[in-house]
Amino acid sequence: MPEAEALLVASDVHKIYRNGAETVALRGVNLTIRRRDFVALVGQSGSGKTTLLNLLGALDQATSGSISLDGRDYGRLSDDELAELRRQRIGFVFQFHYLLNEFTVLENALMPLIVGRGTPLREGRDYVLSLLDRVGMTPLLHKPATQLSGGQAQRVAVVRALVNKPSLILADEPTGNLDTDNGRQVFEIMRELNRDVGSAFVLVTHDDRLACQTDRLVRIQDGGIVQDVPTSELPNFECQAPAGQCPFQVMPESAKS
Amino acid sequence: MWRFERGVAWRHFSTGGSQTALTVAAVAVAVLLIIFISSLINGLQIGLIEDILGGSSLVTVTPPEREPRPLWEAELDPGMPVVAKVDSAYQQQSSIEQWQELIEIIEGMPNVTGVGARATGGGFVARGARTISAAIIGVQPEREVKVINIARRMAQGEFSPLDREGVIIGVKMAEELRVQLGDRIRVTSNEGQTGTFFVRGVFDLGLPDANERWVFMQLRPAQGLLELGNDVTEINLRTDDIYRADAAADEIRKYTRLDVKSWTVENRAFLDGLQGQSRTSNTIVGISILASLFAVAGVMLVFVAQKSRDIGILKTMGATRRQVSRIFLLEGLGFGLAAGTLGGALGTAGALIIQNTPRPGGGTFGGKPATVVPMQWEPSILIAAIVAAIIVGVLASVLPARRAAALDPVEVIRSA
Repeated sequence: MPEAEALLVASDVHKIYRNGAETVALRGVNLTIRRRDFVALVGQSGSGKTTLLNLLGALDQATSGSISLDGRDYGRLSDDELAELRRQRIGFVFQFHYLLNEFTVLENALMPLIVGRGTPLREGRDYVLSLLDRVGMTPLLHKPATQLSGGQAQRVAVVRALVNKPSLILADEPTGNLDTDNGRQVFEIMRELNRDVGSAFVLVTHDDRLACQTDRLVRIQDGGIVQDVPTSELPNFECQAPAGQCPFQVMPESAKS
Repeated sequence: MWRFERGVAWRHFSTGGSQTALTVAAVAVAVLLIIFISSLINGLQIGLIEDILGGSSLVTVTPPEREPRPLWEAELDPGMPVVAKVDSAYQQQSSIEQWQELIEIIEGMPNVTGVGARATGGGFVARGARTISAAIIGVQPEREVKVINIARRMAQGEFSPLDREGVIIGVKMAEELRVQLGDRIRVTSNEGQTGTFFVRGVFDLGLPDANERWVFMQLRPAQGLLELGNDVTEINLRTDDIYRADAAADEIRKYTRLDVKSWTVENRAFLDGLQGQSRTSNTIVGISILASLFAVAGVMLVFVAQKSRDIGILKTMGATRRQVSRIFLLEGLGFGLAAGTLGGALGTAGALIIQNTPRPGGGTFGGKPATVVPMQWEPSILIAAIVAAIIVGVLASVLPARRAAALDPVEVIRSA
């Protein structure tokens, strides 16, 4: 892998929580995310997936080790610089959509632009409208967020994560709260946007079948990465769900051929 | 500026429903209370000051009281018995010479709004067989109306201009002498000089002694009656604010050895009363402000707790601590503005209605027809109450804003 392609580099990252007792959440994680990557971060509950995602998203600080995005080391940035980094380079999608109830669909989607500029430029607004159109939300633009279904709200949340054209999208179980149909739709939207917009995606999931739809699978166990492979290299059985149970198209196109 | 913060703060505020409405109402009631109490104390003080001080000057300059000379200092024949009792020389009339110069100096002092000379002395007035003991007061009428508020207290006629044959007497004297405007009365001084004058006006200063005994006339005839030559017995002045009288008195003392007395010396109890009223008013206003502060701060803290998830999400989008803090400070400002406007409008309307409702029994207070409650609303009271509400809103939101700014997005999203 050429170094120039690296978007995010995590080196020997440790995270220890000290709340009375010491809990080691991450132990020596090394991970490189390249531009346009579509990566699944999988593992058991409590394995450290979300902790790693928070560190990669500059929401939390590593106890030791370094993380850099486009060469900017998080450890050397001030609070304001980290906030700016999040605003310009990183998008987040959570298990729950977390739309702001007081705002409409369009306003929620525009929010990252508003946080940064106060008023989105016409160009930015047009881009948001095109994204919302792609996810089928145009008829609901002016509906309050509270009137959306779970699937609709999560689609808006995905658009919201993309409006700043970030180089990295971090999604923490983005389909975890959705039914099968909505989960599939949201996943497909993210896949499409990864291809078309070019943002790298890191999806935390506990569902191996969903993970198999990505390009690369990173498995974390007891705070350390135990597997980091392209999904195309996975043996078929690892990605094969029992018939009738898999909510997604479990086999990647490349694996089918 | 701060469009993002303003947008979020406004949306929080406008969608806050009954929580927002009740908080605004609580602070608005405090604003209303501040306007009512301040207008009431203001009206009460204006009325009392007018009734008690309106008819007298705020600073009086008089000749120094003559030091009595003990008999043993007198050149007496040896062996003559000496009486050791010392008494003041109150019987002796003393006067101010060169008073015009002093008036010019006082006139140039800051905050002095009126200064005039008086020639005063005792005597009596007579109309036919009726005679009344009187205080003869010779004045410069055009100056005197700026020293005491007599122009507004005229029951009949005008105080100024006043011709040399004219006098202005009190309502009680007019009643006892049974005289009307244009009638002649005879004025005799203790010095034995007599003159005949026409009644040009009748005043009602609300002071029984003044209404019964005071006789105003031009300075020149009074000087003649009192045998003062060109001298006067008093120089009186008024300042724009009654509480500046002491400072004016101090300033005058630098230029003269005459006795200079401020109203605060002669009316200590009244001054204490005014200050007591002001303290009571300030205490009530202070308690209202404090109660509002706690009310808004409490609601804002609950608000921050309710919105912590949203704050976390905004932080993941790149909102800085300062931006988050400003959102809640602006919400506090919104509470203050809304409550100030609502309470200010209701308080002003209520105060104006009350101060224009006459008292059923009639009567006067402060030289005006008495109202049910002696309120006097002023724009400055409204402005002060609104400013207080705004300060309360912003101050009350400082702690919640800091708490919001310090929220850890990881924590709030994890616990959401």
